[in-house]
Amino acid sequence: MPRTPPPLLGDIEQRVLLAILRLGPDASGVPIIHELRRHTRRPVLLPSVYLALRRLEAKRLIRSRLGEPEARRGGRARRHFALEAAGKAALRAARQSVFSLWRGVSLDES
Amino acid sequence: MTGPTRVTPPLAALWLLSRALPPDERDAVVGDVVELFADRVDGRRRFNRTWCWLQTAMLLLGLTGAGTARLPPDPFRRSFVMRIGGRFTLTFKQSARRLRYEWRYALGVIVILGVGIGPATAMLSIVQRVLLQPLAYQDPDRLGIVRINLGQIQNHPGLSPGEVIDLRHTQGLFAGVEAENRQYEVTLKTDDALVPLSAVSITTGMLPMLGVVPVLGRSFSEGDVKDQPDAVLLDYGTWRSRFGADPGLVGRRIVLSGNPVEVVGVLPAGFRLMTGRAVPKPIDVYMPMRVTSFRNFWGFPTLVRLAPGEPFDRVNATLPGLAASLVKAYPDAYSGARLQFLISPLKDDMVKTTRPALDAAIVGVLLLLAIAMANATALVIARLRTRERDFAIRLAVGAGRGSLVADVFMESALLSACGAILGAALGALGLEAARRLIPHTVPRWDDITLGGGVVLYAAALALAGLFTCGLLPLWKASRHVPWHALQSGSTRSGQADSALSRLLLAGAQIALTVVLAFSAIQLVRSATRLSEVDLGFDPNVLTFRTSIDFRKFKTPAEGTDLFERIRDRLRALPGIEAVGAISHLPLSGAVLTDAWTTDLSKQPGWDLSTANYYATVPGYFGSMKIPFRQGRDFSDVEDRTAQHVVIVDESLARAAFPGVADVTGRILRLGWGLPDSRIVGVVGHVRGIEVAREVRPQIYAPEGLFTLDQNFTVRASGDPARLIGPIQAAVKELNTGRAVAGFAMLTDNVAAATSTLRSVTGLVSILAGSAGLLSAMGLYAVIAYLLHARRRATAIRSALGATPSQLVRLHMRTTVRVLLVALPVGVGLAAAGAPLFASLTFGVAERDPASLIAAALTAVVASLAGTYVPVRQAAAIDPILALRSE
Repeated sequence: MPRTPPPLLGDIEQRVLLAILRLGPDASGVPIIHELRRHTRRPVLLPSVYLALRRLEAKRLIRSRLGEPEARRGGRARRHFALEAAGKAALRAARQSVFSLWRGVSLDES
Repeated sequence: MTGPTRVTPPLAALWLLSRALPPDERDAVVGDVVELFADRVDGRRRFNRTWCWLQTAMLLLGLTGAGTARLPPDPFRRSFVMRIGGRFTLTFKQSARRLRYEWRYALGVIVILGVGIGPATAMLSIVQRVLLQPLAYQDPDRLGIVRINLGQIQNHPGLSPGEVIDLRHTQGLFAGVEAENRQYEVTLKTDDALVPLSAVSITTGMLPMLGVVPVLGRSFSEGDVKDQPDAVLLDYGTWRSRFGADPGLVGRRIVLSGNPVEVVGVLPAGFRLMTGRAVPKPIDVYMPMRVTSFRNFWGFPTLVRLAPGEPFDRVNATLPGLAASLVKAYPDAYSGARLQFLISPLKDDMVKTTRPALDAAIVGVLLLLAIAMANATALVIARLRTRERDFAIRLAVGAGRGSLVADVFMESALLSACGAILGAALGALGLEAARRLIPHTVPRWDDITLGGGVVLYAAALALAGLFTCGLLPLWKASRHVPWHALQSGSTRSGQADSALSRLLLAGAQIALTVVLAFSAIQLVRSATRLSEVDLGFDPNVLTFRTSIDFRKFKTPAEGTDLFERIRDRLRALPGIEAVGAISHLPLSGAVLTDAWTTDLSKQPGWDLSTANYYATVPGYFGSMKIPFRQGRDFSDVEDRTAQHVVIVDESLARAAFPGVADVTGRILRLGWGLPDSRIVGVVGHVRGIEVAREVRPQIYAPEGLFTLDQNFTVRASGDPARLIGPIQAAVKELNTGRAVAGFAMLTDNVAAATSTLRSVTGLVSILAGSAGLLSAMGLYAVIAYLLHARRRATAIRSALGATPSQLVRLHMRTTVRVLLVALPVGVGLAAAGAPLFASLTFGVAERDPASLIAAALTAVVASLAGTYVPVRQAAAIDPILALRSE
């Protein structure tokens, strides 16, 4: 029985997944945005992050749960995100394809 | 947390966001925004609330629009706001995408709207500031200015002090009658320099009547009125620039023109005294003035505040009685002449001279705006016709009418928003350019600002654009039955009504272009005529002022001596060809008027003959290159000893001694109790009041006879600017105790005197050029569209052997027909509107036929240019290709 290949990731999806991976149990909206800002030179647009989270959840690459209401958020709850196994597989596949593309070439030689 | 004053995010934004987002995302996203906001506040970042609104807008557009549906989609859970937001976003995106695809069309409409809106916004900002905004005084609509007619003197803005008192004594008409004297120069002595300041004296009730309270210190009181005033109020700007905004200055003494005076207060920032001048000159120092009962010198501009409930016309109706009684009571002062007081609202009086120019400019920009709107509407209609098939298909497959309307409306809204932004930018640039080009002859010109007003007007005009560009075509489109469009096929529209309405629009533009072109041509010709007027003098002289303190001298002759020493000292400077001096420079706006007669048995009367009176010195006529017709200049001895001699201009010589070849040696009697004077010379007439016409003849007396502050006139051989330093040093060496001020070229006066006409000419020429361009573009669009619709017919003609030149002639016929209708209409409108410009034109007939023909020709050239390109393209059609595409 052939295994279904992990879904391909868009650029922002891959970044958001990596941010969730890096943050571990702390992964939620604002820390993800801060993490992306720290590692990206471009400004991070809020809608693109939420759209990516929506798509990743729809593709079942991540799961989410609501936390407790917090005063700093005006009494609103925080949504925590965690990687599913399929999400890890998708990241692995993405890294694999990048590595294999890089194999045997170097920017310095040309 | 930093305490109870903590900045909170805008609640409306959060509310909007939580309404629009699905419930399971609501808390997470809104909470994130609140948290990020708090992070920003803690990080002391700025514009946090703006940031919050921006994020809300982006999230609303990004998370609620099309293509963002979550999997699986659940339409029943979407809230109302979300659905509307989604629809809005979708329509917005689709319209933006369509316009980006058809960018030539979009750019065309935007540029046309911008060109129309730009000048209109700039002009409306000016009008709002100059004509509509009330003056910055308390209850300004009750303030009026008194002008008098006295015999030959008409509409004069100054009263004699006795009349000020008379007006004060009228019962129940006025809540206040206050006067100022003319502005004069004083010299502030600081530790290391003499600084020229401008001063004006006002009656003590003036500031309370205007409702102006000093920001520091107090207003004048009756106790401040003395023979030698020792209390002054300072202008706010002067207090800041000259005294470093020192709050301790109030109560201290400063030395003005050699006299120590006490600074009793500082007036509020932006205060200006507007009495009888369209553009008040900046005044540094205000002094208290005493009202005497003199009745021989009409030099005191007077403001009144009407008593509560008294309208201007009732007050004006009461004044003739007062005037008549005064003439009877003071026969010597008025010599039986007709005296009349006219009180008009202060603001009306101020904008009186500018109003015709502004009116003309407003008509011009509104015409241009109308042309632009007509053009943009025609383009939008043409494009809607090409989309008819698209609409029909959408209706057929079940699209709601509302969605089509929203579609068209959104496109128009986007186009007009972009047009408004372009228009606001053009308007701002135009205003800035106008501010640099036009000298300060327009009231409140300095206060006209860019920004809020311009943008507001642009938005309002864009809304108008939206209605014409969006709703009119929609109304037209909604009358079409969809299957009709489907049947007819997209390439064969050209229905008669649409073609006709578009030709009518094009014709209207051509007619309006004729109107604008006519105005522009008339004004350009006037400006040219005005620049060719012989002024009677050569204005290429450097001028400056200085005063001397006559109280220091035992006799006036000592002051005259000092002036003479200054002139001798200046003549010795290298690069100076001639030096003169005069009490009032030509075209400076300042003037003294006196009555005269040749009948030595009676006093000169105001009703008979008046002349402008100047006190001058030997050498003045030479320095100004004013020619002598008869006789000679004053001699130094005549000047110094104040002999009773005068020089008159040729107009006065003709009027006083008709038919006499040589008037030198004749005797002239003057008013003000001056001694009878012998004429020693006759000079050419000088256009001293207006460039356009001779106002009054001129009398020159030696300065020693009637000592006044002097304006020096210096003719230089090289660059006059290089002389300023040496002149200042030379005057300082003579230790007059007074500063030298107001260095300027007399050419500036000439430029200012003709500036209204020149600026209106420039503006209207630009408008006419834009109008010509726009109507050429409009005609181009219409003709191109019509020819496209008739492609088939053209192709068949071509296949049957018609030559391109025959086809060009054929198609040009449409334009010629439009012109045949539009030109007479345009010429008729131009002729009918000509009286609007009549007060601005000079030396050309009101409905000059040559200008009318030239305007019509301009429109013909623009129309033919707009037509020729598409016609040429259509004539070069390949019949095979054209017919195959059907």
